[in-house]
Amino acid sequence: MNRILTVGVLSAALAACVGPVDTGSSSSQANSQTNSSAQSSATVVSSSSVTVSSSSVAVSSSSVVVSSSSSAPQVTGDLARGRELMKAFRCAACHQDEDNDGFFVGVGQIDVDSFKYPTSGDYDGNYSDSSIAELARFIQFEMPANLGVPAADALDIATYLWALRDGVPGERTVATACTANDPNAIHYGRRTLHVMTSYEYHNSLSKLFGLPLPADYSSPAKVSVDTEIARLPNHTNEKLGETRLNQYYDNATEIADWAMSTPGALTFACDDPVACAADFMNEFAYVAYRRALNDAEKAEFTRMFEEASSLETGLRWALTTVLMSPNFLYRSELGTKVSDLLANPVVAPGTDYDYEGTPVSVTNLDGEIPHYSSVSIPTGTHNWTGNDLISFSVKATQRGDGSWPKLNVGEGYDPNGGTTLQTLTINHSGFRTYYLMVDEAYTRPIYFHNDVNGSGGHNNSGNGSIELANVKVGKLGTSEPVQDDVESLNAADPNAYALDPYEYASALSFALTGSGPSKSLLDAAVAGELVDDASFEAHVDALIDSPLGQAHVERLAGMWFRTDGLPGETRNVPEYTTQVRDSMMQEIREIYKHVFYNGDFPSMYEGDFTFLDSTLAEFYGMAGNGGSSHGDFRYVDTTGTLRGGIIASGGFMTYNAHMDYTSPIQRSARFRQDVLCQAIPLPVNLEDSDERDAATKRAADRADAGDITTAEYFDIQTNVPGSSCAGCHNAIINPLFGMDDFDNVGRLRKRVNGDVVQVGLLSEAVDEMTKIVVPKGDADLPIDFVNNDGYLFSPNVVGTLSAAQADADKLALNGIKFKGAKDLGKKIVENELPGISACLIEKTTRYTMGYTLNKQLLEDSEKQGASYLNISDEQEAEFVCVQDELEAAYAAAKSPRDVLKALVKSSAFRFRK
Amino acid sequence: MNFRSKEKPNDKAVDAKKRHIQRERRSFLDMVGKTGIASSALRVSSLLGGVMTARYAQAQESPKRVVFCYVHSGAPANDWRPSSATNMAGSSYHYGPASHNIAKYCRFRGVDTQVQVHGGARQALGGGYSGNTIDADLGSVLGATSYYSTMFLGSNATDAGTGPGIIISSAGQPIESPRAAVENFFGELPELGSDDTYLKSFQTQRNAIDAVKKKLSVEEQQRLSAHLSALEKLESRIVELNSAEAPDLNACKPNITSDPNESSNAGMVEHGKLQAEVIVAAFKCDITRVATLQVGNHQGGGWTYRGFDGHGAAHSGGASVWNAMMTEKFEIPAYLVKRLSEEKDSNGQELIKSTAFCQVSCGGNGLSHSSADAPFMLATAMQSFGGEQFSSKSTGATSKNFFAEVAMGLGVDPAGTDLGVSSGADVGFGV
Repeated sequence: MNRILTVGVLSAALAACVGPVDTGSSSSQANSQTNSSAQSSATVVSSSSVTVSSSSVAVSSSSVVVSSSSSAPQVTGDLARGRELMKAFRCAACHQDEDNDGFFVGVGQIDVDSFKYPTSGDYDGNYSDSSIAELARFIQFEMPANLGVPAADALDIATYLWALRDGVPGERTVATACTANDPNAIHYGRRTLHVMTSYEYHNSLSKLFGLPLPADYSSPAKVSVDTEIARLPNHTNEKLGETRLNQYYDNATEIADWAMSTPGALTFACDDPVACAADFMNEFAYVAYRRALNDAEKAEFTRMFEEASSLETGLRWALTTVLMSPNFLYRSELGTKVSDLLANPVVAPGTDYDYEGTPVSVTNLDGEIPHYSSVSIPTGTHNWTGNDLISFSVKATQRGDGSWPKLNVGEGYDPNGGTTLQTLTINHSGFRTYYLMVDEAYTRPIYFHNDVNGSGGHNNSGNGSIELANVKVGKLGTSEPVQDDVESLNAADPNAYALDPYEYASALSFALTGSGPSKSLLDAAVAGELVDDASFEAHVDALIDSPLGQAHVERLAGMWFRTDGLPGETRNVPEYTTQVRDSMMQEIREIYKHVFYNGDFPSMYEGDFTFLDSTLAEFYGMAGNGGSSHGDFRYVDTTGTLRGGIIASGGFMTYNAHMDYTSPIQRSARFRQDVLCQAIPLPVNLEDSDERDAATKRAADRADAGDITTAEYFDIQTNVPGSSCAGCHNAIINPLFGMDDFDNVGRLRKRVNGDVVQVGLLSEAVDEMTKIVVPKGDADLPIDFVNNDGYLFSPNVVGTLSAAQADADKLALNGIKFKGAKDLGKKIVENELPGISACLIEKTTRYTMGYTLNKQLLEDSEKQGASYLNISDEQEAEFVCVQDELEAAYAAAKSPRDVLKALVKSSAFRFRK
Repeated sequence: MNFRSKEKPNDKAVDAKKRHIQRERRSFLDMVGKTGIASSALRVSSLLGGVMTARYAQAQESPKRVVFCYVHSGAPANDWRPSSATNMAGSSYHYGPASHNIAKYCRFRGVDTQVQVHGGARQALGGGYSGNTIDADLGSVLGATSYYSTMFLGSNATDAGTGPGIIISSAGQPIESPRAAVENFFGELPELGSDDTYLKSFQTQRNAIDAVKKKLSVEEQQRLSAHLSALEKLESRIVELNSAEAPDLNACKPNITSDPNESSNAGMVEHGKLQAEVIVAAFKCDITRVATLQVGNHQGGGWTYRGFDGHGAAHSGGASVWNAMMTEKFEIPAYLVKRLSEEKDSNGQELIKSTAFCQVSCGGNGLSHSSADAPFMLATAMQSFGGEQFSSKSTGATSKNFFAEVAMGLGVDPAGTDLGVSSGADVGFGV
């Protein structure tokens, strides 16, 4: 359907000819004439028409007659009132048309250019699609859910719907294709300000200290649980209210106390206010704020230290301030206006020191230098010229008496006989980089000696250790200023925003590791290392491959497939122990981690492998496969078996089950939602009816007899022809009951003569009033839904799947036939369903960026909440291009890692609007 | 590193506190001017007297308080509203003489939530996906001088997710652990130190908020405004609690050292009751005047009955499971009302006489996923609502009408809240 709508215009002249326009609120005059196609009481409009934007149907007259190219003037009601009545009757519960294109999605799909009425016995009015009156008659007697509405209201609603017709069936398609295909085109993401999630908060706190934190600050005991959007933690719209802020305050004071009383916790020394303030700002606040402090901030902290009644007080409140500051608590990806960034580049001119050419890295020196010991750069490592440079990173642990160890750097093999060039007090537990210029052409080695207390002898005050890393030697060169990516900045919209190097580093770190950046990444960013493609890629790979990066990857899987929620589920199966449950959760994480780092994402649905530890192998009846102990997960080839992959896994099957039996409904619904990213309309107004009561009784009778399978038990009660339940259960959910070949704790069901069987459900009296069903009925009941094949109808849909479409696809047998859960996984891969990659892209982008790129996948809270959470038409056009980039990255090797890298390499990651 | 022990407060700190009180008072008056708070509520504001402390000395009138207790997914059709204070319906068993016997305080109502259970749980508190829910709005008025504007607790609230379609309040996420709730609201605060460095800290944070705010759109600036309000509330609380006149929170701190075992249904009920105890204790100590307790959620998880969680019971449990499950869960609001009727505030008056207890939900009957006839209830002995009385009826009113009348009974003009100007059917609270 086009976005241009043709409606009749009220002509004063014509109105004068046919009588006064009814401007009242009721259209009752027209109600009683629903069988007539032209009524004298209605205003008739000439064939002249105008075009108006359909973004909202802007009609001010209260009663008009709609002109149609294909029909004579018709009786009409009040169009504007009809539109309001649709809101009042909450028609949107089943019919949603957010872009006013006349194509309504939801439980009841409507296309105003192709009205089709339900054909079941409940709708027996023989309605035609010929007129407003016919539509009104249908609404009057059948909506909502057969309850009916007053005739006057029905006519007004019908008039409104009729006015949306433009003769072009189907849904409006705007901005669904990328029009800026130039590979160098700059696309723009969204400016965001996230409150850190609990996971990000704990990880970012950890980066600030030299020792592990004293508590898990991501736990509910320490910080509010995260708000979720699309079932992933998402704080792009989170307000920092009292409860959360109070917890941050409690944590800040607790951590400050701990850090100040625990040697080694702070990464800098704090012996006098001036030096302490400087180190605090340059070492601690720099990492916490994820940028260099500005002059005003430095002045504030300096005053805090200098004017406090004690150094303790100054430091304590400085620590508390940083840990409470929005600069720490918010993950800012707001960017700086491109024009401002060009005028005031943030990239620093580099260090004051640089090498000429590539220096020699002396990696064998990395590690601890024990007290009173030395390590040295061997002779011959570098040809000393008399104009050379040594750089090294070093950190230390505090000594028992509170002092810090000293490091001597000198020429020779060690201090005995050598010449000390420099003595440094290493008073920080975080790495710092030092540069030493050498103006003599040495012929002997260069040593690093841990001199402990500078006395040259031992004492009993505890021996601080020194750790050395990243030693380089080379010829001294000239430090060259580095530039930001000026080419891209110049090509961008000057009024758009770009992440400055600090924000860029920060965004990368959060996206790839779920944590704020390290000091070294911030330093690298401001030194221009994110500008160069190769260097950028190296940093991205390092983040992805880091321990935090790997934890971040597997964490997504646990949330994506909900299996991290298993601890909240109980199952009446003694063998299903806590250890089994924990192993099931980890199995899902390991499977996704495997495809993430090794490519071939669809293989996790094909299911010819899994990861097992000894606990799970035994529980699955596969003892001897996988790891040798609990928690030792190893790759297991499951080719030729009925198990393997995400779907045919213990975790997926157990989570989507009830305490005593399976939940084929949850399995089906979540397969569509989580694997194919299809949205199933929510059930509303499930009207009671004789048919539903009868269906319930049929299921109960069968359960009394104990001869009913779980799938049948649910199918009988939900797929009741003509009921609103059937909207979802006829074609969307119940045909997928063919996945029910696993029991409620993820064990393969028994096979008898080739048939999948189960113990039937049996009604059991709990008390005089209550009966429940339990798996104590007939043994070896064949499960027809599995044995007779399941169907996945409407397999190619991504986004909202309407009942009408699924029903039509079922009638046309437009679906994929499968036998059992593993086969379903294989079939969707064989058929290369678009939902597979679309869902990977959706989860990846939401997880890393906090928003979707796909307008079809917006949540209600995003569509109906703050406007900046929605996707504007302009944004949609940009986002489609980014999706294309990600699809192209996926197509190469079907690698989730490639998709993630393509996302952070996309211009939309750095440039925002 | 060794530091000196903490020192005693000095004159600078005392002066700083005074300045802080003045700022709080100005912002309070500014806020009052923008809302419809009633004069009776203003009388209890210590800020108007220029003194933040000594709440216990304010004996003219008890503060007005409100509790919102949400139980998910409505109630079984025709099985909740009792016919009299002594003749309970099936699901309202616990309100009656055979159990907690608090029906004499209760106005049982059937209202229209305008959402059918799924999607939009905030409608249970009169809100939507944007703007404030009624607890947040009332918190900024009734709780202007209490330590916390609102207290949001949960019992099986977050087991199926924490999105805005599931969590009922716009005020944040609920605290699910009773033990953690005690620590959060009754825990000891660190000392502020011997000087006014803490003021520099808070000023630095305010400056940082302002700096971030300037980068945002007008719409998004509201997020930072909320942060600023929370920060100022925190500052005033820690200043007051560090003063010599600070009340001893240990006097009303509930003795909850561990959370109940929730593996059984009895444990779940116990969990909800402990959260009720936290709310009652907070009211006794006057640390907050607005509390919300979310019991369950419409998507289930956690609390099961005969193997069905809340969601499964509503969808496919049938009446035999659904009715019994809801009867069990309705014990929690009944218990909370009982405790409010038993415990007294610092003026020696039963809390129920100064508290409007509101039971709310997100739909009518979970089994049919309808919006009509949702189980709402007001329990109170406040004179502004006509004192202690029982009534029970279905109405054509919406949940927003319900909250508008509650707000008016509390002396707050609903037009000053996100509910907007009240219109629609009379809920029948006589305000």
